[in-house]
Amino acid sequence: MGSHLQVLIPVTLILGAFLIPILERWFRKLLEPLVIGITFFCLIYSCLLLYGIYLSPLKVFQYFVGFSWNAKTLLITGEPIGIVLQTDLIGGFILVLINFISFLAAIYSLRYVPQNIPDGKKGVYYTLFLLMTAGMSGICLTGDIFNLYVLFEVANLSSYALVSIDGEAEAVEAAIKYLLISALASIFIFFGIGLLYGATGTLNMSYASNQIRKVLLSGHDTFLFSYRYLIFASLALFTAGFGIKSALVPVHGWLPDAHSKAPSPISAMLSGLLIKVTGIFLFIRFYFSVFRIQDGLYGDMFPAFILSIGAISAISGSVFAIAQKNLKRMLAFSTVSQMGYILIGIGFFSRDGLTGAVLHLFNHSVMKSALFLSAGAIFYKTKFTRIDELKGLGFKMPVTCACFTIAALGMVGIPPMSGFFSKWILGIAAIRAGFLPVSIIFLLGSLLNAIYYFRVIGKMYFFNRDSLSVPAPEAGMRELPESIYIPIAILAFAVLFFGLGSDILLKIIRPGVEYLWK
Amino acid sequence: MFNKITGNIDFIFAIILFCIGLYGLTVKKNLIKKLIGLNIMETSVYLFFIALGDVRLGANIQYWGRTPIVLDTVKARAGIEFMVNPVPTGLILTAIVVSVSITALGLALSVKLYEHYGTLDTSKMKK
Repeated sequence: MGSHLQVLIPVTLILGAFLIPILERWFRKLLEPLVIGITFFCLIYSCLLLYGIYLSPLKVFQYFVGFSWNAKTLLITGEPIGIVLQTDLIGGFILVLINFISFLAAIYSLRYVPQNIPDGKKGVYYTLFLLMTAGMSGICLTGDIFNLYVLFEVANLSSYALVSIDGEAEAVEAAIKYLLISALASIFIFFGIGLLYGATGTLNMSYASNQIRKVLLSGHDTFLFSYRYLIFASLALFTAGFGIKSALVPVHGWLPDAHSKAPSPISAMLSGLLIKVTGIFLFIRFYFSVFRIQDGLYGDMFPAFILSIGAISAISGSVFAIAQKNLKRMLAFSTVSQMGYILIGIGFFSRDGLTGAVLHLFNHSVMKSALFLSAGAIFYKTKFTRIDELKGLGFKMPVTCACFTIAALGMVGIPPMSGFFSKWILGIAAIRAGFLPVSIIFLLGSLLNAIYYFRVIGKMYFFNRDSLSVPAPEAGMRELPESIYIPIAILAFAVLFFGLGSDILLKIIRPGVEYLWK
Repeated sequence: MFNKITGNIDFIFAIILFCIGLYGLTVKKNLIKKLIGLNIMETSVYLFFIALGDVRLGANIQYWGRTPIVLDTVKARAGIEFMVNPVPTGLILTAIVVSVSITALGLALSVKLYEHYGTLDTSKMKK
């Protein structure tokens, strides 16, 4: 069973991306309405798609691109010829998240871009913005490994260019560092795909997973036995590649520069979406759908290795963040530590752990986008970037600072906010899986988070109104344009709403996780 | 032993090229040399893919989906038993486009940096 929406979402975004240069030439005023409209329609499409997958009996949609499912289009091995788009509940869920955040970032760009990006580059900015969204949406929808690689590169290439879009030397330096390290990661992944293709002879994820199972269960005397080394090597290459893309601690060096030098809506997209879709989501896709590590055919050492990498990232990312003086750089290091939490959730290879990981992925994406957009709003109004310049700002920009505080409390894990519930599920999963020391890491990590987020909140509210180093905005003037504070307010509301209503999300995530165990 | 080496010479060369490229990308300081290293690594993966599709290697790499698209019809009409697998060739054509875009973007950013710092040496850039 399939739906045309699976093709329609990336195609709409890509068509929009190629319309923009034409519009920029002749109809400049239509540029922003087109982008906002396209991202809004994709948000609605993706909600409909998720609802359809949720109601379907198999909890998965398959769409055959360019051919129909019949005996003539099958190979001897039973796999279909051509590209199959296969979307399960977790993919659909991440797709809704992508289109939600990109819709808000498109609204935010309406006033932020003219002020902070050279005038001639507006068309390029929106083209790359839509291409990045299209690439990420495609990654969630596809069921073909090579198609996934191409969409992965579309998303990555647009992000390199977006980091350097304002053309300043620091941003260009961050972008080339990001490009070189990230291209290394994508070559590892490409080589991993080559080894997997050599070992299994297919690029379709579900058939590849069947073949891997056959190889791993084969006896010593069969010719299949030696193929297992190819599979182990490709698993190692995928782990290295996605580890670099999700900025786990030994290889996190590119992230703080790239995420803090990019324009703020792009920082929110990179930190909230790209790093998760091209890193953590592909970890889930490959470990659970292709290699099926949850079946326990790879031994006990592999989960322990993933858990230890996650734990190192969770703690040391926070420690680095404490030392930062620049607000956006601090937020970027905080992303490193939260990636560690999500990886720990994956590393249990249990249903509870994966549920917690996907829920924390969603919550962190919403909270971190709110934080980056607030930091951008502060920069838009006052040009402040350092934390110690924010003295008393809570009285001058009440809405922005309130939203920042809500999201920051969520990151620390204070109960009514959404961050608490996902950390709670991860902690329960740690105890159920028998890794009691890991739950201590969650507590320690939350304490470290509290240190650096409370420092910023303290600077905002516990200083005299007069200590602000710039004059207050004139009376009668609005705090910010609506298009800047409405996205932040929606995200802050989502942090509260999905904290109290996390059952709504769990209703979608639990069947999706259950599907991966079938 | 010797038979194994000569039979898999393409794969061994692919691994050697991969290591040379990795050395260039990680150790060299010059941005252009880094990008050349990146391209050598990519080329090695292309070699790996193309070697997977080769007919003569059918005995060494007995992958399941050998000659997936036209095997049955070709066998019936022309009596050909083995033929080159067309899938890796198609994949590599796509991958070359991706790699060209990455290289072009990397070179454009290098030009920007050269205009600003007057050098391509990464260790001299932070002043």
